[in-house]
Amino acid sequence: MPTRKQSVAGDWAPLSPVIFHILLSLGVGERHGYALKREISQRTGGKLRPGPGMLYGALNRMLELGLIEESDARPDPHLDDERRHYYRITDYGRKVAQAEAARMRELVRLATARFGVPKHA
Amino acid sequence: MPDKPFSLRLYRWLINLYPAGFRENYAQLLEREFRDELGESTGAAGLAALWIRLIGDLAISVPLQFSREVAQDARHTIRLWARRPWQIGFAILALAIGIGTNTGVFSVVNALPGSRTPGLPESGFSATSRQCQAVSRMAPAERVSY
Repeated sequence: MPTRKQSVAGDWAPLSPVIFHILLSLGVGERHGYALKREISQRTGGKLRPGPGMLYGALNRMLELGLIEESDARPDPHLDDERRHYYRITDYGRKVAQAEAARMRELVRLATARFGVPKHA
Repeated sequence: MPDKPFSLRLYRWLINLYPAGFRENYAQLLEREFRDELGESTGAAGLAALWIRLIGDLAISVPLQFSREVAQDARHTIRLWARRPWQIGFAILALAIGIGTNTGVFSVVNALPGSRTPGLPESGFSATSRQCQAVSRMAPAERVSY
């Protein structure tokens, strides 16, 4: 898949929630589309459940931007469908995720300074 | 609510709504994903919930993919133009000369005495553009008598 000339990691901020969650999942290891969807749904308590179009649209965009790449590695073919595509995070993708996390941290710091921390948190 | 085999056929058909470039790379994966979700849904309520989610997904992702493809094509075109400015310049010049000549010839022919306004039939009422101009210059009272 062709990748566009990579910009500075922070240039893509703010990332869409789906893209950031995909990066979070791939930070642990390689995943296929359906595993990504299930993991995102579990992590967000079902609040974010990307459908097939949104999921593969995001993966397509991330491949174009060079945030992720397709992986040739396959688990045991008896355990898995060979038609599935596996994805892994690139070094650039890791940097973009770090930049996004730093942006969020800064936002949380600002919000905490302004509004404090809720008691039930 | 459609049953599972019908749902699969319907979704296969709906995949055709995506732009060709996206479909080429992802049609099989989308179908695979749909099969997995279909396998998980149980009962009519589960199937209905799946279809509601899918329609929402299609409503967002299809226009998004189209807009991305259009933006991609536009970027590609601009890059091509930037690489070959002379060829593009000649193409635009040729178009300008063609349109200009066409307009000029039409204006001259149209201004000749007795030329008819294009599109109006030969028989019945027809007015030349000169007649139209003459009428437009008249006062409303004069127009009635004309």
